[in-house]
Amino acid sequence: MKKYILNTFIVAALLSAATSCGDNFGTMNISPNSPSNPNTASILTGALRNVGAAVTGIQPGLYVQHFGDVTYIEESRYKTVNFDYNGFYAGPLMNLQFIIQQNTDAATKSNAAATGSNANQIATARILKAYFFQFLTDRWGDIAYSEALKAAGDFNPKFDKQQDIYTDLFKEWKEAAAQFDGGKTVQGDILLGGNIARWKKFANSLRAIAALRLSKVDPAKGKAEFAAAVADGLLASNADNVKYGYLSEANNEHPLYNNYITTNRKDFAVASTFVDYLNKVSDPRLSAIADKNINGAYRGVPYGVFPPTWKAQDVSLAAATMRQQNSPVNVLTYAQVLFAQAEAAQLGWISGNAKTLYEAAIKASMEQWGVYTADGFDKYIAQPDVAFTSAKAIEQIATQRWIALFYQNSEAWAEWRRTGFPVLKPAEKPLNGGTEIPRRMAYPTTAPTLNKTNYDAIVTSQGADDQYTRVWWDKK
Amino acid sequence: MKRRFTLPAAVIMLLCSISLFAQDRTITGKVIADDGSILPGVSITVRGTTRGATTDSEGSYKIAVPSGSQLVFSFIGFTNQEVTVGTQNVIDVRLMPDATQLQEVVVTALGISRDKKALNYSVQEIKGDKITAARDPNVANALAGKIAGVQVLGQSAAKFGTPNIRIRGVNSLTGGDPLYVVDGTPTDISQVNMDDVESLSVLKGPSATALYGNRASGGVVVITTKKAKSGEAKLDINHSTTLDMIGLLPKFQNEYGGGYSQDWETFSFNPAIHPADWKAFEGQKLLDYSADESWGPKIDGSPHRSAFSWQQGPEFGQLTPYSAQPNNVRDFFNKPISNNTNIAFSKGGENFQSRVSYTHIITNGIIPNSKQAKDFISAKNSITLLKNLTANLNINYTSTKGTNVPADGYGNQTIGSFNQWFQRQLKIEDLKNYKNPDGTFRSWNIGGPLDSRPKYWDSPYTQMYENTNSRSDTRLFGDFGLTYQFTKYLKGMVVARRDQQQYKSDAIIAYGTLNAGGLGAYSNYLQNQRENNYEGLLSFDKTFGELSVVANAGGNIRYNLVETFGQATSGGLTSPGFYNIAASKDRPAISNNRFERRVNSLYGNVSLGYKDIVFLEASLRNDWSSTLPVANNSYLYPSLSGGVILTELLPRNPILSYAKVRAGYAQVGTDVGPYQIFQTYTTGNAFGSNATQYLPTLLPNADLKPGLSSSYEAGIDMKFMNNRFGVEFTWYQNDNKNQIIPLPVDPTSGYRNAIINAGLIQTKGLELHIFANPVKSERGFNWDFDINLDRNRSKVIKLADGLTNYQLGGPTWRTLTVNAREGEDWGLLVGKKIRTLDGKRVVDANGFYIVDDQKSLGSVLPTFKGGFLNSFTYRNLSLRVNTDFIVGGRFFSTTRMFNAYAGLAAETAGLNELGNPKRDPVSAGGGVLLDAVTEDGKPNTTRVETQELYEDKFFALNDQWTYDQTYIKLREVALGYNLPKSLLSRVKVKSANISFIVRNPLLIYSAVGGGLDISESETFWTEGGQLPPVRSFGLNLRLSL
Repeated sequence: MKKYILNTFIVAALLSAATSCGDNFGTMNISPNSPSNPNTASILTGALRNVGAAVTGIQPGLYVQHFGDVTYIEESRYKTVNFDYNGFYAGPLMNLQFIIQQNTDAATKSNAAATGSNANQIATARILKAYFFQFLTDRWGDIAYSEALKAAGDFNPKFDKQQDIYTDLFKEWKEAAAQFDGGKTVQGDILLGGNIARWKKFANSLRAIAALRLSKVDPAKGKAEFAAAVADGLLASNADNVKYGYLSEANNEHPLYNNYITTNRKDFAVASTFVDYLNKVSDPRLSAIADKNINGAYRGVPYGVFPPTWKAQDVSLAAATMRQQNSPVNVLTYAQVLFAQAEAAQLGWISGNAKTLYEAAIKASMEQWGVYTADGFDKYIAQPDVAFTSAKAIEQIATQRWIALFYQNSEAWAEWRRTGFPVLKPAEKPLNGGTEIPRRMAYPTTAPTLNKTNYDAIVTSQGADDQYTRVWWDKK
Repeated sequence: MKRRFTLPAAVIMLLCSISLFAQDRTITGKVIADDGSILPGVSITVRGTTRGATTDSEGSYKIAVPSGSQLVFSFIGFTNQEVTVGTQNVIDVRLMPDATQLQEVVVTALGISRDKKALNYSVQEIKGDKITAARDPNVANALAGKIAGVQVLGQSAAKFGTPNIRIRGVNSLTGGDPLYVVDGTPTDISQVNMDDVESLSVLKGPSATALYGNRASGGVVVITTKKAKSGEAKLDINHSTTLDMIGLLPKFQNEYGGGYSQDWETFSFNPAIHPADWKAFEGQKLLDYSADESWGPKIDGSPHRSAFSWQQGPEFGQLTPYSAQPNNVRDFFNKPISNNTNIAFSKGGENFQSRVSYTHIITNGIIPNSKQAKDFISAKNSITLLKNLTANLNINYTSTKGTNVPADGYGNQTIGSFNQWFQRQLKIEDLKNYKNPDGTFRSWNIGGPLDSRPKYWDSPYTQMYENTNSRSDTRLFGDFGLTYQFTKYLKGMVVARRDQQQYKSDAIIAYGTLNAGGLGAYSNYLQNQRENNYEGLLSFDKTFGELSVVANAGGNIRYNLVETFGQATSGGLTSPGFYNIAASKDRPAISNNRFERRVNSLYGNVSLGYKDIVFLEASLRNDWSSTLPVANNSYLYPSLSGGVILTELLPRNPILSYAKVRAGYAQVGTDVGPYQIFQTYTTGNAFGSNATQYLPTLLPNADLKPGLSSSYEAGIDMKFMNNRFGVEFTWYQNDNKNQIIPLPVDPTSGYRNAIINAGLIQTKGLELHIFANPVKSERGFNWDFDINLDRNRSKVIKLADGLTNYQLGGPTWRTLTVNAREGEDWGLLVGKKIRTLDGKRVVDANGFYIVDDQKSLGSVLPTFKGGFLNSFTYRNLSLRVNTDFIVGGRFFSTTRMFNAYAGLAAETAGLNELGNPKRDPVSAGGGVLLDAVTEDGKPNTTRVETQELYEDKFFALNDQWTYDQTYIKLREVALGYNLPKSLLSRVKVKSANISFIVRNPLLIYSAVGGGLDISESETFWTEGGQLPPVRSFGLNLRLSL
């Protein structure tokens, strides 16, 4: 009897173990570690955190010889050929695309509107998305655009022609600026605080500068787009400048503060090319841009010379005043807008006096760097190098813009490539297999390894995937 | 011959014959084992008759025999012994263990012991003694080379790491750890106490692991721990003391010191910035202290100012000779003493067996101030009640405490600096004085005379004594189970198992040191996890005439929970020296996570044996997994195998003693980790008061199906010359279908990875195990060896629509990636390659190699690998010598690249082919001439500057630093001596053994060279700043009381 009970017990235990199999496990597979519902304001903040990185990525600043390497004389000699844009696609671009979608889809739009009207969020996201795409196409040329950001819908996006991308960017900025409504202010906007007027000026100014990119390749379209952008209203003073503000916290600190102070690496100093030119024209901005070396002199780091015979203490680092932990960086400035208009006026694209605009641009730049004095300015613009000469106007505008764009690395490189001014001497012994200053960044290795068919096609049509194939608007 | 005396045959004989014979004489006696333990169940037969007896639980027997007959004593695992009956009435016998026969019974899935010849798949088992000869505390290290098809992913003992293993190479795209099962309870490899291991079986393919299902796709290591035997009372003590030392370092140059230029810098006094009394320093020789490379001035013994002569203390202002320090790196490392002690009590009676064991291991690191203490406590108990009901309780407790455990990795502050970024002339004594009296830190790598803040490196001693870390891992695992023997043939078992862990770690970056902006940091991490398994099993085992049947059916519920909690200060500490999250300057980073999953399973298997000639086995398992979409969360998979013992069909012959052919087919289903089905959003670092959120970069998949791998396996096992020589050969193929992988996709799609069911990944392999006993002399000399060889090839047959490349790793150093590509061998390295012309490297007009990017640099998969194990015994002496090796397969070394880049490597100095110093300018006859041809095929005649070659051109030139993995490593040597019984019996010691052991004695050959032991590499394809191997010399004493 005892044995029987025991047997029954054991068989029952086995059976109960067996019968509990195959249930649907309830909610066990729902993650408690990350939210299932998005907050588009936080997603916008996350996307905007990439604006600083887009502006300050150092290589273009080395190409235009604003900066030079201090110890590892590599990037100033073009060591890196392939650059990675993946962080922008699987990052801010995808997140901005998501904001647009959340505010568009019927199922999600009313929830999304809790952090800003649907129209305002979409407009903001479109302007930014176009901003990032312009940043990418200016660097890499033809890129994934129309088929990008479709997730499982297309794991092999084709590369679009830069010309087509530019055409769409103009449309995007134009439509987006017109899309803002009087609804709820967008939350999470750490760039412009949800200020619609400023977003519109930003979008129009981006259009104007993008239009000027076409000065050589398609002046007719450039002219039309430029005039339209001016008519819609550009930045009108330094108060309108779009700046990305870093914070006094480790996660959001200024990149040069990080390089100079936090890590004590001091990898980059102001280049000799830049310091020497500013010294030559006694530019008051030098003191706002560069520090003195250990011996109390402004000495730019010799550009692209290997091996180095100096240490960080011997050369001028970027000025402490511009690289505090919470210093802002300039995304788009009034000076840029004035330089663009000066050039447009010189090209005959708009009415207006090129000289006046040029001088106003220099003044705005000095004010922006905090070194403007009326006397100093008058003297500065009177000297032979700077004094406006119509015959040399394009070079003068470009050279002054080159100064004004210090630490707006990508933009400075784009403008240098477009205009060819100032004339820069390439680094000695480049490491990228070429002899000239790079005019493009090569695609990341993911392009040939993960999207080979489209990659091969674009290399055939655009040209070799190196640093010397010119992007569409970069016409000789 | 041996077959005749295996246990079942003997028992059957015995049962039939016991009462049939007239009693001539009665012999009694006792049978004990070599180590003095009592042997119950030994069969005693009278040669030439069918008469027999067995020993009882006290090891005693009684048998009636005619005079002059011969008694044969046989017991599984021991050599048979024959005794001629003379006039004596008492015959006591001591049986010696039989190494060959020890391998006959193996533990298989679910802990079921099976006669190996009944198995139709490859299983290799090794007994404790063979694994632990060198007392390596890590299972994986101890397994190296010992089992065909097992690859050890080693770790330097300098970081006390737990190595892992891969069974049958890369079975899947992402590789996979095997499942470790200790007495039926799945646990972690680090929890295995080698002193408790009785035997270890490696179940390699799905045929063997089918019953484990889900998690067994990487193979299973089944570990059986020691238990008390009936009638035994034993105290075992095992102690070893080892002296550790650094095993290997790169060959450094000692001709040039720190700096980027050979020209001396001299001090130039500037009253505006220098204190007035520094005027006396005018003209003194300076080095570039900010350089962490050694392209500096030629070491000439001249007086110079060291970095320390600019820092506080008595060295300030002193000139010291600029002299070579060839042993500076070696001198950094300690030669510590470590101890490993185990004590185990076991006692067994008729109805209970109990064993308790305690192990204490103190390992002091070769890197100063690092150590690990590990304690294992285990208890294994079994009580039989009511004759048929047995209760088992096994409890294992492990505590591991690590102090300042160093890490591998490119930027690590010890070897990462010494081998990659250092100044060769530094005296290690100077670095030891790492802290000033005022609490600030000293470094060799400072900005300059006026800037003593560390530039790229603190003193390595700062790292080890100030940037401290601690970790503690407490683990408890075991099971409670009941077994009921319903009938002689049927038994039922229910078991509850748990494995739970609490892991805690914290780390300090000292205020004022290099990292965290000099503002200090503190972080801690806590992880709790547990796994519960509830299982029930019915087992049937009966022989019907010539047909033997073994069948099992059961079910299992597995539940896993992982909870993590991590915090770190951000932006520095508000209060120097106060290492607490509360001291965080910015909002601290805090995260907590919880992962939960459950798998329910039902399974069963049947094994049939006909006449000990033909064996068939089939199994079926169904899993239900919580991590898969509801529609696809149930999956069923079968296995089927068969084998024939050919020798049973052949006439007896003296050459071929045993031969079996076997073949099998099996499937294993796999699921995925938790939370990979539904879209969620990631919370990022806040921007001030603004929270951030991101889409994850891994695209979840709501339509996931379970992965299914099908495997085919066939093999032949043969033994020759009375089992003295043997060979086991296995061929297998795994077809991994629908394997669930985070496939990298072009990120322009908006995602970096997508969870998908991949198409088909195929693995094929060959395994060969040869064992032999070539010398067995009458005078007691014996030589056994094992050779294990295997070859494994994985290929991507089909990935997914439109996708042909799975990037497994990289890019690193600009463009180097490792890939699994459709149609190519797994693990293809792709990167910058030096152009060749008819096998010769090609240079450009400047004498540098011409380089093409995105070229294949070969697969990381070795051509073959294996081990060679030797065991020599002579009377009481034994010697074990174990070697393992890898041939072929490519590997990229970051250490070698920077060892040369930074001018530390011997190859960067010395003389060139003209007899001039390489580092002299080319214009002065220096420089290097690369062995190459120009583009038109003519020999290269253009010498290039040495520094430019290594710093500029060879940096990130992947091809230059990619090597064959080929190595031969003498892994362990153990020389043992068994103290004679005559001596021991007087002091009541059953057995005693003293051994001299050496671990890691010699890397006999390595193609990578450069002082690296890539058998201890961090990853399968690359390393950077890898910690050095540790060589250990030790004495081990084993006592049985």
